[in-house]
Amino acid sequence: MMGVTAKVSLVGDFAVGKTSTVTRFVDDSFSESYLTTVGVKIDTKEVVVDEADSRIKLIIWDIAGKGRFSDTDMNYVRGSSGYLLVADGTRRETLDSAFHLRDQIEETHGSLPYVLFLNKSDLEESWELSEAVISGLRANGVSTYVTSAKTGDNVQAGIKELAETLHRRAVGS
Amino acid sequence: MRFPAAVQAYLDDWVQNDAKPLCCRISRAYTLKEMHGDPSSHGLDGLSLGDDLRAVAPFLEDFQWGTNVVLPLVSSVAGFASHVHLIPYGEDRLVIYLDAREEFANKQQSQQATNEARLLNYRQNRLLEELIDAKAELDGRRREAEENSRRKSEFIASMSHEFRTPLTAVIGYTRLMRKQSDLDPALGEKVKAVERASDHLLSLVENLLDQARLEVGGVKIRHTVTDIRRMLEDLSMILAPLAAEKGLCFEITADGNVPSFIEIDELRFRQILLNLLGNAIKFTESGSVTLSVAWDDGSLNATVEDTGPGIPKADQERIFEAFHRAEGAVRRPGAGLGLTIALTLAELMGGEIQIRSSVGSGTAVSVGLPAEAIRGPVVDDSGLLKSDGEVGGRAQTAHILIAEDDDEIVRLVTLHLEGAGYRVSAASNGRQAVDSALAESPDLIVMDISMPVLDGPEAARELRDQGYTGPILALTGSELVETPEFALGCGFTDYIKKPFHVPELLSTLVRMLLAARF
Repeated sequence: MMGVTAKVSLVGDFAVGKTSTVTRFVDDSFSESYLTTVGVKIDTKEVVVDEADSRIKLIIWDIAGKGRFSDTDMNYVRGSSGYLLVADGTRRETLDSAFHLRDQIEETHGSLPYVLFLNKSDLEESWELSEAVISGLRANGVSTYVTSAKTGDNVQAGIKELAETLHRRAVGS
Repeated sequence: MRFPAAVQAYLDDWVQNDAKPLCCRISRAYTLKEMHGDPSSHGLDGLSLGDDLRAVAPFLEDFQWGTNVVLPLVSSVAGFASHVHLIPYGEDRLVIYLDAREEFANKQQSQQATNEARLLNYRQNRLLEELIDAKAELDGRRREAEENSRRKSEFIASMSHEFRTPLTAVIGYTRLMRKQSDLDPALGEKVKAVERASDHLLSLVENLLDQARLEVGGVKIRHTVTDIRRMLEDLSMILAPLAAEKGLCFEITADGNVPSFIEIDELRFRQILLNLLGNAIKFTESGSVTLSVAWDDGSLNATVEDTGPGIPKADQERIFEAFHRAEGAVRRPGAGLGLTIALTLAELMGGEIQIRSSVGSGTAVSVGLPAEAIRGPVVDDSGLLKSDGEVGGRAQTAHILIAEDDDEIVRLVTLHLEGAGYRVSAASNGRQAVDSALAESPDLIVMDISMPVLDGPEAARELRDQGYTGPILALTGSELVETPEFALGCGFTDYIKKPFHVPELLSTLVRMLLAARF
């Protein structure tokens, strides 16, 4: 089957690890230093979504981190097929920010497929999200992955789930 | 509105120089059809007509063709930052790049600083929350510990009474039995063994209770005006017989410059010296045990020296730890609390204890305590104090009323007092004591604190209210009431703890009677 493309926005509060997640996904690398993203940075990666070698090309928009989106930020999201919601598991408040951003996106662009990444699982001592919270998210239908851009844990799996969903929607199956 | 030509020329020049615009015209299939400007300013070197622009401008995917779109601060794969404008142009589209590298750099610098400060602030707040949580937990534990401490104090108070009352009878009667002249020698040895065992038990009980009270902070220092030589005499009366039993030379001396009256916590100072002297006598098999007291301008110094086995250097550092037993001490009776209690009390009184010892050469333990000299009547301070337990004078002819509900204690005290020449009557509860005292006007009343019908404090208050002016000595087995304030507040003149040493009781009675100008 011919490959399809899908724009995927990466949204979340500042310093939750969005750029590191993209870097892990696209280049399979990681940097310890924190460099804030300004505006938007766009990358692409093709993902194989099924055993029949079906592919989807993801156009990944890594949008500067904020707790609330401005109109300009909403312009970045426009045209997205889905999005990756990223929170920092060592900062409980970034989960609230993530859901606020989700609500803003749904208000402006309607309901879109998304998966939630609870990032920085390698920082066990600073982890602030209990198992009960994570189970609660999943029980409420939020596709949730506990990830580490540093180690790569669950990054590919989470993005692949989103890619499969987008592919299914694109090909109408 | 059109600008004047000069202005328009300036703006054109400014845009060209600062924004370095690149304009690309692309088809619906994203093919580059036309290009104006410098692609290298936007990281698009090598771009040629006919190229698919999506390869270097992935943001073109999935955009609606019919509207103007502005994408500020788009970073290219090559790391260039541009403002991108997408403008419909007939069937085609114009993609205009404006250089935003300087703006990007400035914004990144300020945003980086802001974000790092917010992260730091978050971490600090979390640490603060953790500190607050930790403090709350500690407060909870402290409250729990205080509650446990209160229960422990209550237990100690209760147990001290329970222990002391029967011990008073055991110790008193064994002493009386031992003094019987017609006692069979073999039985006498057994009685001695019982006496030693009960003395040991008493010492253990006292030390354990004291240590427990010190641990829960239940010991308060109360300074009183103390006749230091009288106190040393009392000590001598209590300890000289123990030293004599072991054939030790025992002597208590006070320098001539030691003030007659000193403001110090007499009860605790006496306890420190009792522990140090008791230890010295226990560990010394031959030779001497001495206590010398000196005065050094606001400091009362007492040194207990013995000719015992000495303490190894390694043990000297740990000898003040609770329950620590020095080498050679493990086979001797004791719980290893005497020195711990002495040191804790000395420190509570603002003083210190030092130890000098070497194996085979005996031990010297010095206590230094801050104290205030009080101007008072001058007493004989020849230096050598009596150690033979003599008490005497007219006082022994006095009439003493014993108010005590425990028959054993009444019989015991009566035997001792009558043996010392006093006239004794007894009452078995507080009511009887008040009635008898008012009817017989005894010279002194010895009154138990805890009695049926009317307890000791109530009886003492009633006696004072009814005009009885003689001295009243409280006998107490409770840790909670053994304070001068409590005793005086109830109308008692003084108090002694059960189980008491007979010489201590007798000397206290003499002192009280003399003070009452009997």
